[in-house]
Amino acid sequence: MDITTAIKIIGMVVILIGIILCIGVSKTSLYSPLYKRIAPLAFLVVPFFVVALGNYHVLEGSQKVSSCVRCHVMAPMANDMMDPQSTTLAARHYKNGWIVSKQCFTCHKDYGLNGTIKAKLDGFRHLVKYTLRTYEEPTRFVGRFNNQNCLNCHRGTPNFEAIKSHHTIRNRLETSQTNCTHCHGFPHPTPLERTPGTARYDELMKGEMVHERRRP
Amino acid sequence: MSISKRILFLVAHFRVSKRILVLSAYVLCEWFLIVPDPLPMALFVFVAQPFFAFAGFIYILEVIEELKQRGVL
Amino acid sequence: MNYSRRDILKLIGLGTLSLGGGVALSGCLPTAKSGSTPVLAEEWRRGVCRFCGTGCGVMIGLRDQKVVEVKGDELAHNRGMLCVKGSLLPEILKLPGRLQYPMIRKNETLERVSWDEAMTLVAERFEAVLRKQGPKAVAFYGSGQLFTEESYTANKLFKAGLRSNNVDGNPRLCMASAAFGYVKTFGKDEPMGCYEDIEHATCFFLIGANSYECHPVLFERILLRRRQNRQVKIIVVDPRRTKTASYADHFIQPLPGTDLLLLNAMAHVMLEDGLIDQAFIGEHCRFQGNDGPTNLEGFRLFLQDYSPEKVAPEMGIAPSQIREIAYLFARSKATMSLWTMGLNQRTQGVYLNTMMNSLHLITGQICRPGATPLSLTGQGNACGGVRDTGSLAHLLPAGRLIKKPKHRAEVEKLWKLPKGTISPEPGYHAMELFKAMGDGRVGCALIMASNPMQTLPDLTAVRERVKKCFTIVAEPFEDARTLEIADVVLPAALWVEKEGVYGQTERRYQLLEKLVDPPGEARSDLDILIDLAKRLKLDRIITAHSPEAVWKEWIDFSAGSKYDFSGITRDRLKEERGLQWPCPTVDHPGTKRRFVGGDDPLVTPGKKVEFYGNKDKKAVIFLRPYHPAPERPTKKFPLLLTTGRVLEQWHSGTITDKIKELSNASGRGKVEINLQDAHRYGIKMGTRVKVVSAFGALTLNAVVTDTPKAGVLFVAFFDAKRLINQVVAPHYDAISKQPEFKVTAVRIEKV
Repeated sequence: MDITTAIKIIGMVVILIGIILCIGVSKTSLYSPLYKRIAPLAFLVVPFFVVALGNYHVLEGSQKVSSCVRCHVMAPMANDMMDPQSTTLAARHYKNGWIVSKQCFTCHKDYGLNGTIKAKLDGFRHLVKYTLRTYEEPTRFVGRFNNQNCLNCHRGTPNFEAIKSHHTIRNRLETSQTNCTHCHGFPHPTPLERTPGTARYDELMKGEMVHERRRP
Repeated sequence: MSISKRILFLVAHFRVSKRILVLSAYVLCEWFLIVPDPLPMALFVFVAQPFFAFAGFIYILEVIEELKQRGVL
Repeated sequence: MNYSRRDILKLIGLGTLSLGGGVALSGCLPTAKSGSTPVLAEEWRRGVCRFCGTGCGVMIGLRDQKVVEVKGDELAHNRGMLCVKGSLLPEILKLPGRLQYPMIRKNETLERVSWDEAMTLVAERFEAVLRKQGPKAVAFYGSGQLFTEESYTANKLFKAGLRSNNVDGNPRLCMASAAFGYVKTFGKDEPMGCYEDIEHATCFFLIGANSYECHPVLFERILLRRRQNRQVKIIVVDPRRTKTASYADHFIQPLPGTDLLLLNAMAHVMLEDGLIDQAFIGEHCRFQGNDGPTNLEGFRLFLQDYSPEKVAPEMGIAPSQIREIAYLFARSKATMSLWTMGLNQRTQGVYLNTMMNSLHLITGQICRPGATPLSLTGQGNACGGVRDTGSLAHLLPAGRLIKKPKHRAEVEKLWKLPKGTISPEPGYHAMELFKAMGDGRVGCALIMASNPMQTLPDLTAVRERVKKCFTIVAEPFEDARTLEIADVVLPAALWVEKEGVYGQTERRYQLLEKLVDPPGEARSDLDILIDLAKRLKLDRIITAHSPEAVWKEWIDFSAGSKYDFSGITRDRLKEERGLQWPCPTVDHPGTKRRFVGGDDPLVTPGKKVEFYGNKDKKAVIFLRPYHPAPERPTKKFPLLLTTGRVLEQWHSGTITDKIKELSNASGRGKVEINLQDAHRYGIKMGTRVKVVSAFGALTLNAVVTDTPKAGVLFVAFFDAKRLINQVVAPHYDAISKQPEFKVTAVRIEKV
């Protein structure tokens, strides 16, 4: 059992305890000694742990591909990634088994617990927009593509180092001034393909529900 | 009247129950832990957490008031 | 996974933080804007890459009226991809050595003058030469890098205004053979296919094209296609084992100058093995021999001399290879051939191009998604700017010929000229032009956006000759080699410092808007041409004075022709990511595949395929005999030199060689020599060697490699300090007049 599942189960148990405590509080008189003992637990201590575990779940549990595709705007990305016919960078990394698990997270490292505050804020913003349906499809990436997500693995590999221009533009690559995707293709279906109403969009949305792939 | 007393007065006036706040927050959290969909996630982040915070806040105020009444503070 | 105490602390800390953060955020969310990510550019505008003929759409990031970054345009045909040169586009506007003000040569040195003084002198010289020698003595040498509006205006100014047909340009050195090939076969110039065909092709036949280095975005697209489906085959034919070849499923390495043998042998195999599409040939094609029309039997008879077994030894390959690729070519679901200078820069360039088209015709590998002969372009606007506007010495706009009285009359009518204004005699083509500039036949020439003093073959001789001619050079950079022969230098604007339309390989017109001001007193080439027209009192001819007005005139001109793009208005260009012609109305979406019914509006309704370029609506299959290249290995010159390009440099390197990221990566001063040859001549890696031909010599450092075939040397031509074109022979194609840069007999000497 990995840590995220453990946290999930612990969380559920703690919440149950919290609920029982809460019901207990409502059954006791406000001035009874029992209340004074249970109340801080029910209102302060257990909530504290629940929030902590919940946030951990938000940040770490969402690293699984299966949790990414729960968002309908992410479905085209994931379905495309699972499509062996697709030639996007994501699909090639997936079908060749270059990334064994947490395929989304491995290239989008920003959103985990270790990511930047900015990534967190972005995440919250996306969450609000998604829940309130205040977004338009196709969604577009507005920020700057972060080369570090590629370089984390590719930097130093023989194939990477063999290309002379990788050396001469190293500064630009490290600071993401020149994007890896310029020369090496699009990581995901382009906005054009993700525009509702097009045949490709329907295809991309139809993909089957995805499961984490593991090497035997 | 002190600020904390005023807040508590308002809370009582609007019949805000910290038990209900905390209970509903617990339920939302449980939902989110079982089904990590975007909607429960949003409810957890933007509803459950503030509920917990508010309930905890009221509780602390109550405790402070009581301690004041008893002359501890 | 394992817990560390730090993890737990972090967990608790974050939990607490987000408790507060969550509350705070729910209040301030409406103000959290999407632009919160740190982006350098303040504003993104659409544009087109400055470099090759792929014509990639770019998004140009501006800040404080300066171009600070670019990225690929996801909605353009290149789907967000760029190559390393395109990625460094923001650098080209910051490069040192830009020309800032006009200069006139006084006592052998160029001295700064005002625009007025320079232009007065230019106009005076033009008038003097016209008075003394007549219209045949003035010339314009343009470029596939000028905007369409600029080439069109120059063409009109010279052919209609000055009545001189001496309008040529560097596309003569680059794709004249391809243009002639299309015209000969289909009656009209420009490819019928499009880039999207790459997604449908199952066999790629790359001959004389090093797309990995020269059209990286397209080559990546080809590789993506193969990654999608491993049944897709890539055939590469090249005398060098290029990077492109390293990705090939089938690699054929013939000696330079022998590939017409290969194409003919492939046709031989196709006929012999019944791989041809008789129905298609019957319906859409006719045969043409060098001495009159013929038929399939005649073609069969002609090809008897080209059996793989007969020709393979001369090419230095195995007959089985030819049979293999002939079968793949003919029997794949959809075969797409792509070629560039390997077929074009040849004394048999037109023959090769027509034969390439013929292979597609006899196998029916044409006018279907994925099946097409697509000639790739080297310069951003050679197709749209020069070929379409007819800015070559034998052409008139929209596919018309100077030779044909009917065409001249049509153009005179459209340009509202008195009858007989346009001279009936074609002007000097590039090779002849620079000869004429030397022997006094041409007394005054205007060169724009081109660098002939680096790109012409047999340079030493040419450079000496042309000094006699009064030459005006409009150019953005002060170290271009052509400035050495200039009597007047005019500083020109570059890329987004001016506005205009680019037309790339797949007949797509794209707009590039002016985003920044040119440095110093530099002006756009269009402004220079309009100024010149005014000073020569030709305003009645050159009436359109802005890029927008010229474009309007040009699309109106094209209406009704086989090039009809009257639907591609300026407004549409601003809205859309380029449009492919024919596009006769403003609501037409543009034509992906030409000559195909249902796609091309000019095809008779109901017809599936119609080659309407020729009167009988049939494409022509030519019987093209092979002649050995004039340069052959001899005792004195036992090796063959072939020139080409490298990934990081573009054209004559005037721009790319100044970008240190590119010039450091490309290296310079190298001659590639095969391991066997190196052993024979005792040459080691880095040995200083002299490459000597009958025309000149150049000293370089040897790179011993297995890239070129044994007996072949390779040198890239971008280096302005080491002009390999001094060594290259000046032979050219008898039809297209395109020089053969690819085959020169040389010897190699240790220094």
